[in-house]
Amino acid sequence: MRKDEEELLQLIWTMAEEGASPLRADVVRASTEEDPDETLKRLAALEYVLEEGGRLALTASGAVQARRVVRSHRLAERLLNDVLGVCNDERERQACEIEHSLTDDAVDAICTLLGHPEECPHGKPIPPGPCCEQAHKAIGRLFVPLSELGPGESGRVAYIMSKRRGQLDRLAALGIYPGATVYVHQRQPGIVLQVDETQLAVDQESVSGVLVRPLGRVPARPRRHRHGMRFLRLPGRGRG
Amino acid sequence: MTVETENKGLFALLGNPNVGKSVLFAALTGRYAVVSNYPGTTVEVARGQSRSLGGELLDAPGSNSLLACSEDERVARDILIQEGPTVILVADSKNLRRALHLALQVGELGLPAAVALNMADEADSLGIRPDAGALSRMLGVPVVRTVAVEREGIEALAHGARRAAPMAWGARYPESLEAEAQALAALMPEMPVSGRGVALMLLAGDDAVLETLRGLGLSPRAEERLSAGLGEARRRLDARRMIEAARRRAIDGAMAGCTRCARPEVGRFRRRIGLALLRPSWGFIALALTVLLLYKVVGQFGAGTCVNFMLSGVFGDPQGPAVGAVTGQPGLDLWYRLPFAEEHRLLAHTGFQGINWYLGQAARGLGLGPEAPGWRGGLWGGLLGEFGLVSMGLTYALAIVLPIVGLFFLCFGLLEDSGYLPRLAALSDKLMRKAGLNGKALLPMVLGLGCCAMATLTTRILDSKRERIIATMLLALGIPCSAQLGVIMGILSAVSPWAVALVLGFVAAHLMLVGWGLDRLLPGEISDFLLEIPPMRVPSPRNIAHKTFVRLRWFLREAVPIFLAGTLVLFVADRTGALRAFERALAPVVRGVLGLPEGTAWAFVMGFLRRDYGAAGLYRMAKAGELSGAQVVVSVLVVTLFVPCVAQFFVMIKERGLRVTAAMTCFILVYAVAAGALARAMLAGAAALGIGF
Repeated sequence: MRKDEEELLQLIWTMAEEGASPLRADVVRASTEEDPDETLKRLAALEYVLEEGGRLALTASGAVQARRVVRSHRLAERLLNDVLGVCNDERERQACEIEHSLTDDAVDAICTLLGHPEECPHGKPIPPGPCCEQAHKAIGRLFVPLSELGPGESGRVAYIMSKRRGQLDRLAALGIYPGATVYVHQRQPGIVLQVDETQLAVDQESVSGVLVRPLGRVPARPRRHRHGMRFLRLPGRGRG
Repeated sequence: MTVETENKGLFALLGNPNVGKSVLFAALTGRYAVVSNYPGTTVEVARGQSRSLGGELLDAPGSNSLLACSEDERVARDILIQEGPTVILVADSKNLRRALHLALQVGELGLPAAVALNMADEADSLGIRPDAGALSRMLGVPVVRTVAVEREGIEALAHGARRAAPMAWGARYPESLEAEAQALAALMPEMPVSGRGVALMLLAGDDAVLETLRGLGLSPRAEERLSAGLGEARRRLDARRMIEAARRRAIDGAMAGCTRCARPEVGRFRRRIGLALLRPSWGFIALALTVLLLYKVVGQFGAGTCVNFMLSGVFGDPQGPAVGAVTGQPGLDLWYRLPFAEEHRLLAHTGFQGINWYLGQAARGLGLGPEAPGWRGGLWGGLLGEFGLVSMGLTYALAIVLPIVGLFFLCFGLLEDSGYLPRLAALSDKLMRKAGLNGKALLPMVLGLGCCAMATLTTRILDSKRERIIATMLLALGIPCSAQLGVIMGILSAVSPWAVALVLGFVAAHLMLVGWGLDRLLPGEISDFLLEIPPMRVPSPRNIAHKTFVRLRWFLREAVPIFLAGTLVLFVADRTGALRAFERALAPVVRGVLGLPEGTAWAFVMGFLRRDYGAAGLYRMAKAGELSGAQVVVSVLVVTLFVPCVAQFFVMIKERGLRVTAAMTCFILVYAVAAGALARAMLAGAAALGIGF
């Protein structure tokens, strides 16, 4: 499939996520392709897109294709953001490049690496693939929600999926931010966490979006303090 | 963008919750603000003149971030944006990272600042040594090590605050974000802080800032452009995450340069107790012990022994001399009860026969006895009669309520300062959810046991309007305040310990039921529960004594005049016959529905003046044997559930608005009577089965 076709399928899928089938005129306007009308004509010929009353809808086979593109785009964003630390416009541009060159196997591999994330950095859902279903059954995921750590276990925060505005900042202000080590004191009746010298009581809901890499059973306060270790590092790293 | 620094005379304490801002406030201004060991003690801004600072000092509620979630955090934020004070940033030395999070945002607003590394002693004992010199060099502002409770470093801090400077340290944001922030800043109204800092707040997702700007004169047109620009920026950038990441990098850098760690693992015992109290088993045992302690100290010792001593010994009856409780002779016995043995040991017997008795004698000597004709007899009635200002008003306030409230404040202060309450809140989260709240709401509820009016203010710490409404409702409906609780315990423990348990059970069930109903009725969801648990601390006797003293003074100032006014109203009503008419009018409800003597109607109505005043009325009736066991239970239940007192009523109007308050009050009126009728029926049923007191 051609790149411009994939881009348009993705656009229609994304616009449809926000409500009803998008108007053809809106799609054409929002598209960055050179000749969207021509591309739409081709998509219609491939029976991927139907036009009814000025509105565009994906056919069953079109939806399969669109879902694939959207999935690889959003996973690419995730990869750039979480692992490579690329933010902002740059991430968006690169994700658009990467998505077209990834094979299905490569997409699934990225998905597994990231711990089968459910949302892209913008908070939109990532359509699950076959690897996600398997992972739900298998044990030992790379990242787990903080709410699933057992008592006495620690984890390093990898990523925070925040449902609401301000939540990211609120958690960060309490010391829960990517890179922080969190220790779980207890899980029942409420979760009690230790982050640095802060002890927090939280409910399941508020930390289910915090993905951590389990570190196993580590004492609440490591013998060498985190910040104490900092200046043992090689010079030139982590300062300023 | 330049910042005006003309606001030199205004200083504000800002910091994470529970880092000791109020202690510093007291130390810098000489004025006492209530200090406790849990986050959210301060919900309103206290202002005071400080000589050492040479200006006015504000004590803001604690906040973790200037991006506000709850109402009290917004208060702190708005002060900064609207008044542009010099910020004294109070940091918990052992939790520097969290203070830096706040420091960054203060720096972005361009406000001059100084930093207090407070609780330095606690950090020392944990082996954490923040380097004040390095931090000062990095931030470019004065940094002072303080131990506020010991008044250590206060002078140095005041000196530092006078030399406060805008922060030289900040997060480095990507250019695209900077550009957006600058563009938005250009649309802001004139204000004492940097527009870039405010723009960053908006970009980080805090829409409530717009409201603050409106208060500063943001025109509707400018707001439209601002909102449009903001929406555009949000579409283009994942601003929240960019801001968060840049701040994290800045803080990581600062932490690496400024913290040294020696040897941790000190204070393990307190730590273990702190953790144990978060477990259901130990938590439950601690709760049971706490309730038992309150019952023993406030209910039995306070409402029993102390009130007896004050009422019949010290104040006495104008109609007859006081009689010793142990000897049975006229006069006053000083005695104590042997613990665990029902034995009273006499310490001394004095000839003192009660203040009221001597006053009565003096009045008789002046020819003002109760038999005297005309205004003289009236004067006797007004001062020493059944509804006399002295024999009822003053005696109720000082003999019945004061000892109970004093002991309650003492116990409550110990609980507050130990760090136990937040742990109880964490344990109760699941239960509170059934009533449409989360664990955080336990704090205002427990505070309500101190004073419901103050607790209604504290509902500001809750995250959503919905929860504030539910909490206000439950406070108004069924949380008895300290004075009322003490008096109630006194009445009920005279009947049977089971009566105490029964009424508490009824009240708890009604609270849950109404909370559950409101949860169903009000749109929205229970918000996430995130509560910081402070370390357990041994309460400082000085703070406890001071806190109890301040609260008692407040009680005397507020309660005694109301008690006197209430008594005067009762006296006039009694003389004019309005009392009888009123009792007869309410008789169908009081006697018919609740099965109580008509006299109790006044206790219910007077409960509106002060809840304990109503309860004290019941106390007298119960003591005089006018109420049966079942009647005591029903009347106490109704007086507990009945309308809030005047003070609480006004706070409710202020916080929730007149309409909501009126609706709540009407509901409570009907509900309290219905609950009383239900309890009456249940007790009658139990009595028919041979179960009773």
